Amino acid sequence: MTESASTTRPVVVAHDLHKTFKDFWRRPKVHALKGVDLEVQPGEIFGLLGPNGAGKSTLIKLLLGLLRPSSGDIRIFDQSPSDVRSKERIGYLPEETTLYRYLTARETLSFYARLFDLDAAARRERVDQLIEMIGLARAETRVVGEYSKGMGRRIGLAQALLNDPELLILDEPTSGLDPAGRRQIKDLIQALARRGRTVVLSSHLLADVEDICDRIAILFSGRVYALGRTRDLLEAEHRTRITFPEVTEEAMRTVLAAIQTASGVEPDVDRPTVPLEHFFLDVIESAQQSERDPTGATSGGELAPFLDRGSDHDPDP
Amino acid sequence: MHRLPVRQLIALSGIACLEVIRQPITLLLMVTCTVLTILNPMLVIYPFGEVGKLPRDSALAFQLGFGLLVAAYGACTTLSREVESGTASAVLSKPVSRENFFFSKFLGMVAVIVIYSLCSILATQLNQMISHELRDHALLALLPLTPVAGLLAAAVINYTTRRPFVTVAFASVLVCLALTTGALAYGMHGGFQWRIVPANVLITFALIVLAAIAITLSTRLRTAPTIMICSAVLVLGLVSDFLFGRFTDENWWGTIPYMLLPNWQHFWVTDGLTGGGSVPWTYVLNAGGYAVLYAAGVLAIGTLCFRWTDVQ
Ligand SMILES: Nc1ncnc2c1ncn2[C@@H]1O[C@H](COP(=O)(O)OP(=O)(O)OP(=O)(O)O)[C@@H](O)[C@H]1O
Ligand SMILES: [Mg+2]
Repeated sequence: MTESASTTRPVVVAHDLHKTFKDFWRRPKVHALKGVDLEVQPGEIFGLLGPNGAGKSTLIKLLLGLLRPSSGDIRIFDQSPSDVRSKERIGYLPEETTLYRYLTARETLSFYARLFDLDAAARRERVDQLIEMIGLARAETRVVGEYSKGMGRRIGLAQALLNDPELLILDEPTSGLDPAGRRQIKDLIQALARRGRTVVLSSHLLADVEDICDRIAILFSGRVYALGRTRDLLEAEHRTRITFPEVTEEAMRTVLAAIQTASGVEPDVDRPTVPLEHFFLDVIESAQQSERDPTGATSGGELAPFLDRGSDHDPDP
Repeated sequence: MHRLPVRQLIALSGIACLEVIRQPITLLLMVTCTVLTILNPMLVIYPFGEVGKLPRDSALAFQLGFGLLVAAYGACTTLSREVESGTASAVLSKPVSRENFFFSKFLGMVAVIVIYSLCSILATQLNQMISHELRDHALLALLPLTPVAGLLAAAVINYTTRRPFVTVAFASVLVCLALTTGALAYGMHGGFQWRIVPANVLITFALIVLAAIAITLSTRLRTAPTIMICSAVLVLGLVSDFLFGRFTDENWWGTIPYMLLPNWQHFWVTDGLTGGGSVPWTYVLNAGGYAVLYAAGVLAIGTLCFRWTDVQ
């Protein structure tokens, strides 16, 4: 497949998608999706938002062919989701981390790697790099059943990246993670998107979505209520914010008076706060340097080298 | 090109087998079966007729009875546990076909049943040695402790190497039984009674057929109804000669259930062993063919069902 062909076509197309869950006697139980239309373009980070039970996970499972649509159609890379070949280019992180409890981290990843068409050397290399990347090198010999939720989540993420997927589907990727892990995942998602990978994610954490998603869809009760570029949707109309360093009261008064005379309106004044995320990360970073033998996950390394391919261009500003 | 599905099948079957073995209930059933098998000749106080016949029949009955529980419970849960816990959706979002995933569950169960049956075969041999030689060698009364020794060994290995107890125990019980049987077969004049093995093998076939039925049912039903239907199939299959077989000549309606139900009588040949007789291997092969065809038919239906199932 040529580069240009894959960049012009949408990666995911869903058209008038309906899903009704039925009970054993085939009677309809829940109408979880009611006519969803959406497209995801290559290289973009697409966010699915919505309250609990809105149908985000259902939509994701339909994309993966785990559920069958009741009507409507879905194409992924121009293939049906039930086509096994489409899975070679997809990575999926389930909503709840689901692992074989008695395998260690390394065994888990090796097991999943064996489901792909990779030779033994490539498998070992990728597993090594991913364990390093998710920061579980210290805990790799413990069975994953003993892992904390966030540690399990990291394994889940590593498992989704084994095949260096072109499309990454993440169901609530940041749930259960500590703020450092959350920042790290967000950085990772952005790094992958800059290298041309497509990401579809669902989340409740609006701040995370706002940070990284190029486009979002807001679902409610199985319907899409808003769809568009994050920036366009969030821009507050008719407001401007000016930020500048600490100044004397005197100078402040002059500036405010100038604005008032120039525009005829009285501006609001407040002090910006550092986001808690930044503050927390600073504290943890200094703590990490003093702790010799941390029990949980450490902050992990850089993007695994095998994922670091493609040009690292900046997303459009 | 064809190597990937095969590699997937091996990896998935291995995991399926381990997941069943790691359920403590499987180990419990296996140990109970072997201990009872080895113990029961000492409980037969007034043997009449052929020496060792009653204990031998009981040993085979234990293999069948406990094996049915192992097969039914393991097979009912192997698929539904993975679907419920979500590991199935993680695996099926990889380039693994539904057919491959489904079949690997069956192969995993076959592996469990084979290991279980190996233990049972060895225990049956110990059972026969006790029946014939306990009078001369009182120490044989200690043999029922062999599986227990396996458990102790597993505890030691678990303590020293931190490997999971249940999995190690499966292996160590098997090894203990094998060593004991080997040593005694070498020393006793009866030796290893190969003529009994075909009877054990036939029962293994029956267990495999039951596992195929249980896995197929579990694609559509929950665990409780699956186990109930399996029990019904089991009972009806045992009495199918009596219930339906005698009508097949006169009535067409007797023929259908008779053809559809697995006929367990084919796998139960204790009478053939009476008076030093043996079961010809050609019979075993024929019964094996019946088992393979039956299981293949059932699994084909299961594959179709699983293809259209929603995986949560
Ligand atoms: N297997 C199922 N059987 C019946 N109903 C289901 C099933 N799975 C999901 N549903 C229903 O479908 C609707 C959408 O569920 P879904 O899991 O997609 O929501 P979600 O947006 O992912 O919610 P959350 O934010 O809590 O993860 C819910 O009303 C849910 O109860
Ligand atoms: Mg969800």
